[in-house]
Amino acid sequence: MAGLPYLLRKILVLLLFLALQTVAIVLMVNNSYFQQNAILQVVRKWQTSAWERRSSWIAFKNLRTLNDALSQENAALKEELARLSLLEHSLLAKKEIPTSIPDTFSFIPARVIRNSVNHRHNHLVIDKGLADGVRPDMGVIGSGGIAGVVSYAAENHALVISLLNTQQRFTAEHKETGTFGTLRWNGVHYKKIQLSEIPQHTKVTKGDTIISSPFSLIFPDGIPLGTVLSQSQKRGTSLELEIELFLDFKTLRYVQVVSRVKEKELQQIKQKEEEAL
Amino acid sequence: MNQSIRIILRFLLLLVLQLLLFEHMDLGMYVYPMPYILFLLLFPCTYSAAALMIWAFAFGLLLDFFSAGIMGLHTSAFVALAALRNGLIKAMTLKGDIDNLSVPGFIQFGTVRFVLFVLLCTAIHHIVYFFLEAFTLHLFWHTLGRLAGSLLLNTFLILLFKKTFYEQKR
Repeated sequence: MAGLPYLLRKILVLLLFLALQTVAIVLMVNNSYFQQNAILQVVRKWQTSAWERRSSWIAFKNLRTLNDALSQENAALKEELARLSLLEHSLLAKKEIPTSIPDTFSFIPARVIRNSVNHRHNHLVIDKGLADGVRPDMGVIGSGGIAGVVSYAAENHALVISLLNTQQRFTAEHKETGTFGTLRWNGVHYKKIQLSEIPQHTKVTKGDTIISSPFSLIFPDGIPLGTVLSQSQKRGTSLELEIELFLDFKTLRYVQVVSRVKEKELQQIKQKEEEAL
Repeated sequence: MNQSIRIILRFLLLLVLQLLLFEHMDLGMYVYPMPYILFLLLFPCTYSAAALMIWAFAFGLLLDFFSAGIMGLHTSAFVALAALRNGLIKAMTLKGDIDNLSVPGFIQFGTVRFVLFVLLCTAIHHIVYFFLEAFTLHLFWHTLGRLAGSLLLNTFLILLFKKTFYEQKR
């Protein structure tokens, strides 16, 4: 290249620069989580084992807080069990036993082996994969709300797009009024998330609870996610609420992958809807 | 040791260090340690820009692949720095000096000028990295805060590494 005239050499360098940048930007825009992971299957195998060792060490340090959270969750579950068994008794007394319980979810417990909170696009890696029934697009919940959605599942682990990812949207609703909106993180603080597209006439007060919406097909409805911190108008047409999350992503260790039992039927309905459009 | 072997060893060392150590450091939202930028600053001043860009591309791509982040982000920032590095050196040194200088360093540049050089290189990389990551000018001040925090830490880390491990004796 040394023999070439100066100008031509400069142009060649510029072209190389543009070519390399284009490749980088195309990769970024395509955002190919799937391809990236498919290629990396082999590497991820030993990578995950290293992540696992590290996370088990960190989990050991957090045992006390974890115990507190678990006992609280236990208490809440027992309360619900008591309520439901009471309901069951009253139903049995009336002899009106429903033939089937409509929507049921099953939960696959998993451990978080890699997590980040200080990027704009955060991911989790969990230690359950295809072999345990985890599939892409399944929801992931932690104790205290939605944690994310599975983007890619390998044999024994899965990559989860965290709730704290500015590219991922979720649906959630305002518990008091039932108005739903789009939940999307703005990338600033790991405890605060934004719920937008709430109609202006909705009466929202500070401290109201936000729960997961039944319109989101991947999560059970009614999981409490957080409380309203503040509200502001966006473009004069809708409200944006700032939510303080119940779930602490910094100490997130155990999650459950939500698998919808009748998922296949739902998919068929969705497909038919799409065909009809 | 052969120069290219040394470059490859340095490449692997900094890549592994970034992947195994700095990617896992949780220093909060405003500080993201990326001392791998040092890799490009250790090439001789007269190293061709095209070759620098290819090294940067390879490094960035591998880093993007193995860290569970967004593809192409590190690559784009690193290639941008590779393209501008030689121009920066030319702008910061006198014309006659450049042939004598082998690798940018404290002794070759003078302490003040070298610190400024590292600061500017890190700034180029970080401006591309953080604004591409945000992809909007919405929350501009927050992005700028992340940029500034990381800039200070990384400049310090790079200078520290350089002083400790790569300082050439006269």
